[in-house]
Amino acid sequence: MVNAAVFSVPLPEGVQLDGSDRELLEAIAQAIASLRHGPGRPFTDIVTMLEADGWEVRSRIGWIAEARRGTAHEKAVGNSRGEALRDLLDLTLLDTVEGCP
Amino acid sequence: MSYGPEARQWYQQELLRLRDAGLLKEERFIHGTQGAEIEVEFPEGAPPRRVINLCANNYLGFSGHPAVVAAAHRGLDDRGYGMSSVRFICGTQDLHRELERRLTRFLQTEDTLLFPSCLDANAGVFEALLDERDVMIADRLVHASIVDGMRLCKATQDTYKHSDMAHLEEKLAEYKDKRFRMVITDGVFSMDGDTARLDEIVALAERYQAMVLLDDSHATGFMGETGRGTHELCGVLGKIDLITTTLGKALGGASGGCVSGRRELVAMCRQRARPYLFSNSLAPMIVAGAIEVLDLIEHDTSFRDRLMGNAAYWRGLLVSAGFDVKSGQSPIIPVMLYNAKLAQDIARELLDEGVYVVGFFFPVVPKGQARIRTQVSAGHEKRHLDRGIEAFAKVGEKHGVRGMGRKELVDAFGL
Repeated sequence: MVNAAVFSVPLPEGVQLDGSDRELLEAIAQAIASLRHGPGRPFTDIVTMLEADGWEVRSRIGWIAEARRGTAHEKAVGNSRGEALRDLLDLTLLDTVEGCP
Repeated sequence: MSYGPEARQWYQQELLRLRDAGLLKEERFIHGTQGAEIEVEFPEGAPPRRVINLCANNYLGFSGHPAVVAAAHRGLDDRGYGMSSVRFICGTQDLHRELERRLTRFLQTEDTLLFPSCLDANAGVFEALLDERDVMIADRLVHASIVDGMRLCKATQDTYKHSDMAHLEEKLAEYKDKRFRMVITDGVFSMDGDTARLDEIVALAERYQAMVLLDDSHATGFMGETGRGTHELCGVLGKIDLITTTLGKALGGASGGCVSGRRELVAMCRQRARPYLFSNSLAPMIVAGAIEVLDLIEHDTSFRDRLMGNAAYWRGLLVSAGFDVKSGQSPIIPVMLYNAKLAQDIARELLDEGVYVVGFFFPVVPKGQARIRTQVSAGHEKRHLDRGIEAFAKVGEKHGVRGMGRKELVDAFGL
């Protein structure tokens, strides 16, 4: 790790962070770092270019859920992990089998 | 060179993996026209053998019917070989519109749009009509082309357990805030040959203000008293919003498909369905052949009556011979064997005995559900089916599967 920032926030009384909370915090911090300071073209340039082309652009942090089995690959995006996983489940249920012609 | 040794080796290994897993799809070469009895060359280079065909979608026997072939010849002579255009540029003949009108009348809908295939109709219809404000709720056993079409559409995708109306209702209630809800089902399911509970689906759709899309490819031309399809069988003629179906099965067996239904929905497909917009129009001879098929069946139920009689006769023969057969009333009659190798072995030996059938196993059907899917035709005569059951009985006897139900078969052969 090249640099690390340490900060603290007060927790409501009685709240204990568990593994999921820590994972979520880490994901948010990683997203902030990559969005604001990540390599490559600044995202604002891309938004400007798309808007100049007539697109109305929105981007936000979300969850990606992926499932792989053999050559099959399914991927779903959601505002929450639960939403992404629910959509992922729907995608896998759509083609559990190839079916007959 | 972009296709270098590394890529070639990868594809070679993948093909070997498929072969070793028993998943390689092999073609058998038919010498002559499609029909109840055909000459089959298999493996490649072997002398052709005359066999009874029990695996075609040639439900009404029109693939080689003299009247249909003659009509296709007239279409070829009068209208040429091809259109060299998509429909909306310069690819529409009066015949195309005539066939659309005839299909509309036959299916008892409001309008129809032809596609190069039903796969294309299913690939285009959802994206043309729905967006992210909407939801598609499909039976989990719908045809692969519906799955592909749903994936191309930005509406929310969801499924309900196969023919489970309580689960469908749960899903319809869950999505009551969506702009449009569309329930999607096959009429006759190609894997098991069972029929959708369309009357109940329509009732639920009315209660929850949902549209219904029916893929009736394995039903158009013969299901229902006059062969209109599953919507006739279930008493919901005129209540299905969209029907997709094929000309590649009962209606001649060449190629082509359509979307038929509410006028505005069909009109929207004419504007936005990409397979319609970017594929050549159907060849004139196919259009002429399909019109002839409709001439033959629109006021004459003898073809579908013969088919349904054959289906009942064949089902009875299989049951009497002690095979485990899926229940149903369609001409798709699966003989359940559950074990993939057993299904493949029996299918191969049946070909040696002069009966052409194919074994289906995972991933085509669910794991532990291997079967031989048999399909009968109006073109079959009693002697074909009697010869067919002789072969089934002989091969079944050799493997000791006659009289066995699921438990016995699984105990004896495993899954």
